[in-house]
Order: sequence, then structure tokens, then C-alpha cells
Amino acid sequence: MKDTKRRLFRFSLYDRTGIAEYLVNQAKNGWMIEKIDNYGFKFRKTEPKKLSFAITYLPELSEFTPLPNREQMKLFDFCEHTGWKSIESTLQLQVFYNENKNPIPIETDALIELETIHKAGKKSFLLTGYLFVVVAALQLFLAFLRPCNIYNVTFIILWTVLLVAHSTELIRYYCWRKKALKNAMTDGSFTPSNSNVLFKNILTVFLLISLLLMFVSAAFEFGALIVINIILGVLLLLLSVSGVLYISGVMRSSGISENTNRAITITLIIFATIITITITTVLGILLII
Amino acid sequence: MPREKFQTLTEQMFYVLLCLRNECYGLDILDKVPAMTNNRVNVGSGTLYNLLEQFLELGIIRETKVEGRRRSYILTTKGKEMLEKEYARLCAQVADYRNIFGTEG
Repeated sequence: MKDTKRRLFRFSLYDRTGIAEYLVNQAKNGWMIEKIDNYGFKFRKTEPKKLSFAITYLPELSEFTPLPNREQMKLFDFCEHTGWKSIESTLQLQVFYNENKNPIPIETDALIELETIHKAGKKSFLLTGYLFVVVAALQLFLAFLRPCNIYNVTFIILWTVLLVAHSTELIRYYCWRKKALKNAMTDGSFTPSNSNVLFKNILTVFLLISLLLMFVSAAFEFGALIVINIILGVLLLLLSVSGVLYISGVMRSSGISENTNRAITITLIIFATIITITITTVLGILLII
Repeated sequence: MPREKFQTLTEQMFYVLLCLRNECYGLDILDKVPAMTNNRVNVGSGTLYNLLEQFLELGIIRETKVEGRRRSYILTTKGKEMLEKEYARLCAQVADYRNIFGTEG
């Protein structure tokens, strides 16, 4: 039997109660969280344990900050003092567990917690959310300008699903924040958060179906070889970007400075994109000839 | 943040600043506050971390010493003024209460 398992991160980044509950249940079932990173959760098989989990945020951390760093260590020391042990995390989101029955919570001021989450969000999920909404809206606008054909219809469906996914995530966050701020200011209480994983899963299914439809319609419009070429190009790009992100991760743990890491990573991603586009274009021309 | 920052202090902010009247390690504040309040007030480690960051940023406290991973802090003049203002506000509230209910209870 395997003694480790990986699970995708299906939560909203601000959903600290949902994530903590999930980790409590996993520990109860004998799966202790070992690491959290861009790829999701990594668990290790242990004895079933009743543990408390808490999530907090370090807005100062970016994708390129060397790990561990001064800020992280300072937070870890404070948390350890009250019995909270840290779990390895490469994200702004920091995970802690406590074996005591009634530990002092890590966050005891709801307004400060909300401010920290919002500050972290501006550098992560809010930034990418807005970016996706703008790109999706732009793609839809351009698609409506093009002549109507089956490929364009499936293209519109795909980008509409993406637009819905990202805009609902942003709306859900702001609705929760508004409610949480009201509660914090009224009686200082903490408002539980929710990721609505079911809705996310339904959207993922829609996204995969619309992606498949788009490729099939493109095969009808432009020929199967061109579509295979595009799919190969996308896979090549994903592979090279994953490689670059891996290198970036190695630089983080080797203590390379944030600015150097950022510069090298962005340069490598641009380089990988140019190479991929060149290969795909040359292959496409050869296929047409 | 909707609450105008540090115009009034929450209980936790008030006690963290009280601890920093004299030079104090950040970590020790976690024990000092419950001791000072007979366990009535506890400051969470994440909350303390963020409060110290914000107090430093606004010049309410300053870092005095770094010993390895331990850092100590002390109130600045601005911080002392804030505490005095908060004390005056609390005293005014107590005086108002006494005006209505007298000194009993």
C-alpha cells in the first residue's frame, strides 16, 4: 500500500476554514499533510490523529521569495510558541497543526485576518482572477468580430466557461469579504469561508467538454493535422513552462534572491514560448506543404 | 481596512503596546498579555505577527535588537502618544459611566 498520496488543490485560496476542515478529516483518516505547493497537497500515511489545523497568510511571500526566509521563520517561531507546528508550504498560504486539545487560535482579530487575506489576494488569486476575466472578455470580443463558423462557436463556449469560472470566484470572494467585514466590525466574530467545490467540479467538467468540442470543430474546419500540431504545441509549452517552474523552485530553495529568480524565470518562460511557437509554426508549414 | 487604522485600539493592540513600554522580545508578548490580564486576553501568534509588522510600518514601535531569530521592540514617541490617547478615551468612558450609575457596581 502506498504511504504517500497527492491531491489537487480544489479550494479557493482564501477558504481557510474549508482547507483546515479538509486537513482535519484527512488526519482523522490517517493521512497527515506533509507539504502544500503549486501542485496541491502531499499526504503521508500515519496513525489516525485528532489534530487542529489553522491556515494563515504571508502576503510578503511571492512565487520567487527564497525559502525559508526571515518573515516565514518569524511567524513559525511565534506559532511554535503556542504549540502550532508548521507544514512545508511554498505558497502565501501557511499551514499549521496543533496537538493540544484547545489551542489558542493563530488569528484572534478578525479584522486583521481579513486585511491580511486581502493583501495576500491582491498579489495572488485576485490578480490572476482579474487577469483571466480581462483576457476572457477580450477573446470573446474578438470572437464575435470573426465570421460565424462551428469552430468560432465552440471557441466562444470555451471562453464563456472560463469567464464564468473566474468572475464567479471573484464575486464569491467579495460577497464573503463583505459579510465577514460586517461580522468582524459588529461583534468581532470570524466568518467561515467556503470554496463550493461542487460548483468548481461542474465548471471543470464543462471546461473539459468545451475544450474537446473546440478541438473537434477545429479539426473539421482546418483539418486534423493542424489540430494535432496545435495540441502538440500546447503540450510542449506546458512541459517547458513546468520545467522552468521546477528550476524556479530549485532556485527558491537554494536561496537565490527574489529579483534574480524572477528575472531568470521570466526570461526562460519567454524563451520557451518563442521556441515552442517557432517549432509549431515550422511543423504547421511543413504539414500544409 | 474599513476601521480607520489605529484611531482607536482594540484590546489586543492596547495590551501589545503596553508590553512594549519597555524593550521586549516579540515572542515574550505572547506570554505577557495573558499574564497581565489574568488570561482574559490572548493574542494569537498570527495576529501578533501582523500587528508588529503594521506597528513597525507606521512608526508606532521600533526594532531595538536582533539576536539570531529573536527580535526585540520598544514603543516610539508616536506609540506612547497613541497609548495615552487611548487611556484618555477609556478614562472618559469610565467617567461617563460613573456620571450615570455612580461609583457602585
